[in-house]
Amino acid sequence: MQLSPAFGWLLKRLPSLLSPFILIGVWELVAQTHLFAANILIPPQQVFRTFLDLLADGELIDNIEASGARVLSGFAIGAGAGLIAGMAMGLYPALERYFGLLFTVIRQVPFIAWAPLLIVAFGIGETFKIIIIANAAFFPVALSTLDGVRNVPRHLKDVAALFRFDRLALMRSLVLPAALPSILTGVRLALSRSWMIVVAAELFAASSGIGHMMDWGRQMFQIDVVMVGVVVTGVVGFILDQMLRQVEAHFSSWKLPSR
Amino acid sequence: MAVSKIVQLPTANRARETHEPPSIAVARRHHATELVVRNVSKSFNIDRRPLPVLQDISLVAQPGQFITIVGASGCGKSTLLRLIAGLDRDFEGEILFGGRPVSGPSLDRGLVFQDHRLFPWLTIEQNIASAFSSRPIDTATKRLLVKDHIALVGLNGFEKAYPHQVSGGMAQRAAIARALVNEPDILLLDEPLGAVDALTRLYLQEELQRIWLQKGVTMIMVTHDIEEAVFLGDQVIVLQPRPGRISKVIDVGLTQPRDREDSRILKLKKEILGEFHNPAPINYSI
Amino acid sequence: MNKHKARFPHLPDLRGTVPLALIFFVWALKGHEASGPLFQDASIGAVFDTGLDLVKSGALWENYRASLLRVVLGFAIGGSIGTAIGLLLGVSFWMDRLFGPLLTALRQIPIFGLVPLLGLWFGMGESAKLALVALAAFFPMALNTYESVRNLPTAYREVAALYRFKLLYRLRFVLVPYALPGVLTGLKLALSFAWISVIGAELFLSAAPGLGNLLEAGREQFRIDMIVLGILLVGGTGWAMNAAVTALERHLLRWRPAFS
Repeated sequence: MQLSPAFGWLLKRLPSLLSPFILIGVWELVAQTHLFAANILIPPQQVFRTFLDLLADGELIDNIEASGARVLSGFAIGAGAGLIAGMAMGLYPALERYFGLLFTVIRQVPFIAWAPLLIVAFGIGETFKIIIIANAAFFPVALSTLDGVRNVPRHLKDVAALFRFDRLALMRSLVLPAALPSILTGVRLALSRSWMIVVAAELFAASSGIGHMMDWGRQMFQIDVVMVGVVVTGVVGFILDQMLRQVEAHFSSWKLPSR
Repeated sequence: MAVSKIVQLPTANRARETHEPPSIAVARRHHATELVVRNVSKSFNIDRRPLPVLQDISLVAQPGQFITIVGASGCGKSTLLRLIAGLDRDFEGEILFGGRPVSGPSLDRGLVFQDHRLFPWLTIEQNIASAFSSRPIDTATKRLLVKDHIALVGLNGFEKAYPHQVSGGMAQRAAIARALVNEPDILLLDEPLGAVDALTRLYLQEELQRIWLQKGVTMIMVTHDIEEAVFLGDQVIVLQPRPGRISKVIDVGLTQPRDREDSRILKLKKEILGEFHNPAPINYSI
Repeated sequence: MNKHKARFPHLPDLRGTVPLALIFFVWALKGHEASGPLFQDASIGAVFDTGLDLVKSGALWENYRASLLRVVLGFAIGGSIGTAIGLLLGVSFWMDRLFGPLLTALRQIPIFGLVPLLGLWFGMGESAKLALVALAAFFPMALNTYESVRNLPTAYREVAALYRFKLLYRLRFVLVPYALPGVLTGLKLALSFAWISVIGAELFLSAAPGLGNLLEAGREQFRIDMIVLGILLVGGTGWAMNAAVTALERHLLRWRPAFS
């Protein structure tokens, strides 16, 4: 039976397109039965309405911006430091021998456990949040950069030696491009984590940001606000992740499958 | 003790030795089934356009025969084998085994792939034994059959090794043992030596010949190596690609085991090579 | 080229301990000078003494045990449900089509972002904490199991078909061993996330015995020694859990070729 191509495509995709609607549908149904109190489960349309309200009075955008600013600063510092550290350790293995253990030890501590110490040291302002984010962004980038630099195929290094590349040229035309896919993976992971962490950090003490918005919503028993926050956090996280995946794919297009 | 050391003649109706213990006799199968492939065609759907892969293939495999199918890549030889094995049921024409149409995989028809497909988490022994899993044989018989077949393929001492610990050639031998341990009536081999290096390949060809002489099971082997095809086969079927169709069938007519240097082998090789330069499609029907 | 090994071939490579030793020395020397009257003693001695006190009074074990219980329970609940769902989605074509994208989408929500929501649903007490931990363990387990199961190569499927493997045999000797490496990786991740969320839950939700409680108390009283103690325990336990699963991995997956 010959189906038109569009119909065939739709038929294949239909179940997966359906799933968010199924979720919303079930959600709506359960809300209708009033099984749960109104402050526990609210119908989807109400969440959507609140979303529009928050959007309209600019509150949502302000909060996203505030969280975003923190992520950006923390991520920039952490990822930048991670990049430098990873490169340095990759190019000078002695460095890795000295600092590797230290990094592993620090990594063992969940990011959230640093918060009390940082708050004692820096108070509840912006600083401690940015440090926590930087700490969380540092390690994925450092590790993946180290990995990328270390795994530059041996035969490429030999070719560079044959052509007598000096250190700078070596870095620029060989190491950086070869390590780039790995670095980008680390960057993507770091950004994802940073976004997740900023929300948590704001729950400690903040006067702006998505995490703050959700916590305030909880205190005011406004579950619709909380739900908007949840959805927005998820969506933003998803968008960031997808964007970086595209970048990653673009720069990895030359990459040959290893082995 | 050693039950399968009896050299079996590659013809039908071999007299059954009666001093086998009854449990082994139950495990043995009667090697007298004929494979008939009649006017088989198959096409794949790529982007909703049919791509013919096999066209009007017909062949007969007598019990105990060694048939080799030789052809370049893309001539559908693997597809044909998969149809005979029953892994794929979508085709036109008939495939009859022992007079009954093939309708799915069966332990009567074994298949060896180009990649050995041993389970990495099982030892060589366990991999071979996995072939029995669906049959209610007692453990002692299973152990004996596995032991015999490990000896048959020359892997003594490697029973407890994991696949990653042995070479590619050895793993392939284990795969052959696994395919044979159920004593199938017919063994299909899909470029079994394609993934091993040239030296191992020559050695394994001779091993294959020895195993076949010892077991007497019908074998259909697909290969792109003309010399291999002529060295091993009683009958060589030449397949031309796009779509796969039989262009020549050659009866080798030399006794087994063979000498690689035999001039007649070289002559046949030249003849087949010529086929690929000037294909003359023949409709070989029964 | 490892010049250290070349020059000192018989000495173990202890260079990694240099920065740690440096930190230790600086801390030992300067710890007594912790700034201001607000800060309690932040020296190594203080940490040690406080640790001893807490152990003697039983408070340390009480807090530690509470956290351990939460992580074990939460992980058990979340992990088992996650494995089941991952298995279901990986094996059934239709469940995968219908719910697979949903699962991947829901995992994008940061786990701590759910604290306010869970706080409203369950109150700020124990159930909310448990729910958080269970959720944190759920997603890695579900996703890793899902990926591992649906990736079963056709090559193995065909072998199973050829030899007419029965369903139970197929599960036990083909699917499970194939998926096990992925599932164990998921386990490590799930355990690590669960541990993080235990601490977070204890910090964000109501006060109750727990390591998070220790950290929080330290913060409120500006007692660096308590905080440092807490950090050491949290980090140490996280490492120990990871090491335990890695050891389990090495045992269960001994058939794997060793990587350098």
